[in-house]
Amino acid sequence: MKVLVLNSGSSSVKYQVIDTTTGAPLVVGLVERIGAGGALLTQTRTHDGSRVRSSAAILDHRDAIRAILDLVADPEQGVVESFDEIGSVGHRVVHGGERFVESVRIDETVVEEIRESIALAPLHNPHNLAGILAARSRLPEVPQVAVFDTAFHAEMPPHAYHYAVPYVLYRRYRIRRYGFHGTSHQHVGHRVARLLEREPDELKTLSIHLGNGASACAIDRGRSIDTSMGFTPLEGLVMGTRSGDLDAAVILHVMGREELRVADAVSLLNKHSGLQGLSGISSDMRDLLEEEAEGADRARLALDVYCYRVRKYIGAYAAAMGGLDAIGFTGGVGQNSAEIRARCLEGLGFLGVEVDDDANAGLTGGEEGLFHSGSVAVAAIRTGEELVIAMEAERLSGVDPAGIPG
Amino acid sequence: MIDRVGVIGGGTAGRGIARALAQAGVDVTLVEASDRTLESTFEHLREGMDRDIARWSITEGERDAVLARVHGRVSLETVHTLPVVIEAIHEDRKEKERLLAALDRISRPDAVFVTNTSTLSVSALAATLSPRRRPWLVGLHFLHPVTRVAAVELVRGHETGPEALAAARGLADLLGKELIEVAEYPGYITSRLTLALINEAVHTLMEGVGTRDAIDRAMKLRFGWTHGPLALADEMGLDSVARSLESMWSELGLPQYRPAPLLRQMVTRGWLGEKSGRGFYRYDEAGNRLAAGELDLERPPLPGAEDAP
Repeated sequence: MKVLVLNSGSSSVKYQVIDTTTGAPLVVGLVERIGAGGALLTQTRTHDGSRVRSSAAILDHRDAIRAILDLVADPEQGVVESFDEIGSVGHRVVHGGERFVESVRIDETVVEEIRESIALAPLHNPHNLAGILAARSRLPEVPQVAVFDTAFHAEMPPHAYHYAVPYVLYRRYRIRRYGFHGTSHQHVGHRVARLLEREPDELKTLSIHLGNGASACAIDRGRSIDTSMGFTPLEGLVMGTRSGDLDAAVILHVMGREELRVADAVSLLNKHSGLQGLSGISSDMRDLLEEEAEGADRARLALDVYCYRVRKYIGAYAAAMGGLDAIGFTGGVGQNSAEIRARCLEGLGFLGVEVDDDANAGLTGGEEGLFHSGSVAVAAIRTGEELVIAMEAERLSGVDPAGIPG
Repeated sequence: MIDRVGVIGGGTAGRGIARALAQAGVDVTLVEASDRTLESTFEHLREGMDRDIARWSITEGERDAVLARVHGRVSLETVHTLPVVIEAIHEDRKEKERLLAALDRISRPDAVFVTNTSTLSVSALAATLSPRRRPWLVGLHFLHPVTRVAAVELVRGHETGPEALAAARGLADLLGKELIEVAEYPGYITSRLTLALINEAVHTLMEGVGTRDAIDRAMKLRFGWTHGPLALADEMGLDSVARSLESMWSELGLPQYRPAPLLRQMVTRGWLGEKSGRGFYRYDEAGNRLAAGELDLERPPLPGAEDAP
C-alpha cells in the first residue's frame, strides 16, 4: 500500500509517501513558511533522486496539502498517477492525552476528541488537527489514521507518570507525565533488537532521540516504563530552544523579577532556552560544534550541559529498568553526530558502556549500526517515525476487500 | 474563517490589532493617512516586537511572519474587497463618522465594519451609514496591549445584525480572547473604571499624597497588577487618555472624568508617555523605561516653564 504520511507543524508540513511493502519512502518532502508570502516547497523522489524546489503563496494547511498532493501526483515529478493509488493517510498527532493509548482510524468523533485535547498541547495539536482537516477535505474517500506521540508511553506505571503535586490537579486537569516521541522510541526499540538479532521483549533498551526536540525512553522488554518528556515536550533533556528539566521555582522567580506574563514565560522556556539560550549563538548542533572548536566558551558550556543531561538520564533509566542491554541513538543529532554520542556516553564504563571510536566515527551519514566495545550494545538508528506511522496507517485502514493492492 | 482583515489607523490600538491578527495567521491590510505616518507605524510595530523578543515573548521568526502578513497602504480604497474592516483611528466622533461614511461608499455590500471605540455610541456611529449598512456595524473595544490582554468588549448598537455579531465572535475566537458583552454606554466597563483610576492617580500625585513610584507601587502590590496607573497612562499615551477623559466628561458629566490639570499640562508640553520618550516616566528610543529616580514631576510643571526633556 502507498501511504501518505503527514507531519503538520505550525508553519511547515513534512511528508513522505511510503510503500509499505518495502518500507521505503517514494518521496520525501517539506512545505516551509506556510502563511508567509513565499512558502517553500521541496520534494525529493527516492528512486532517481530528482528534486523539486518551488516557491508559492501558501496561506494555510489546506493550501499546503493541495500543493503536496499536486506534487505527489505530478506527471513529471510525482510517484502516483492518481490519488486512488494512495491507500491511506497517516497523521502524526503530538498529544493523545489519556484518551488515545494507541493509533486510531479518524472519524468525526476522533476529530472532536483531538480538538478537545488542544488544551493539553496548545503548541502542537492545533496544527496537527489543521493537517487532518485539510487532508480529509481533499481526500474524503481515503482512510486516515492518527498516530500519537504519546501512545507508546501509555503503559508507563503510575509511579513514573505522577508528579508530586496535589492529586486534585490530576483529577481536574489530567496533570501528569505523558511523554512524547513515542513512535520514534518504539522504532528504536525494534531496530536495536533487529541489529542484535534478538526480540524487543528480551531487552532493556534505552532510546535516546536527539533532534530539535530531545528525549530519552526506558524500554523494558518492549514497553516504555519511563521517558524524559512529561506533561509537555518541555521536560527532560536540553533541546535546541527548550530548557528541559528545571526547578519550577526558577520561572516563578524570573516572572516576578521581569514582570513576565504566562505567555512570555511559556515562550522563554520553549523558544529562547536550551542550546540557543545557553550559548547565545545557535540552536543548531553543527554551528555549536564549530564554534566550540574555535574556542567559544558558551558553545562549550551549552554542549557540556546538553551531554551531561543525557548521561544522567542513562544512569537513571538503567536504575529504573534494573539493568541495561542496549542504547540506541536517533534523531538528526543522534544518528549523525559521532562526537555528541561519544560525549553523552563518557564515563559510563561502570555500566558496561564502552564506545568503539572507529565504528562510531563511521556512523555520520544516516547509516545504522552498532558502535560498542563493552557489554552494553550501542547503536545509531535512522529516525523511523514516518515508517511506523505508515505501517500503523496500513494496519488500521484494512485490506482492500477485492485484494487489489493500493 | 476570517483570513483577510482591513485595519484603519496605525496608532497604538491599530498596530496592536494588526499585530494580534497577523500572529493568528490573518492577512492584514493596515491603512494609514500618509507614507510618512505609515512608515512610523511600521517602525513602531517593529520596535514593539523587538522589545518583546528581548523579553522572550516572541521570536525573530514570529516577528518576521507578522511583518510579512501586515501590508501597509495609504489608500482607503485598498480595503474595498475585504470582508471585515476594523476602524481604530482616534477617539474622535467626527473623524470616525467621516471614515465610516467613506467605508460605506467603497466597501462590498456584505462587509462587516468593526469600530474600536471606548467611549462613543455604536448606534450613533451607525446613523452615519446608509440604512441597509447599519446592521453590519459592531463595536469591539480592544484593550491595550492588544496582543496580551485576553479580553475584548463587545458592543452592539440598536441595529447591529447577526452577521456582524458572528464576525465579532469569530475575531475574538481567532485571537483567543474572551468576549465581554457590555451595554452601549460611555466607557463600557474597562475604560470607565480605568480612566477614573488614572485621573484620580494624577490628582493624588498633584496633591502630593504620594510620589509617582509610591502611587504605582501601592496599586501594583495591592492588586497584583503588572502596571501602576501612572505607568499604564504612559503606555496608553497621555494624549489619548486626556481625549478619552474629555469624551467621558462630556458624555456623563461626572467630575471624576474632568482631566486633571497636570495631565493637560503634560499633553500640552508634548509629554505623551512611552511614545514621546517622556510621560510620568522617561523612556529610551526603543520605548524601554529608564530606571531614573523620581522626576521633576513631583512638582507640577508650571505653564510656560522651560524644561527640556
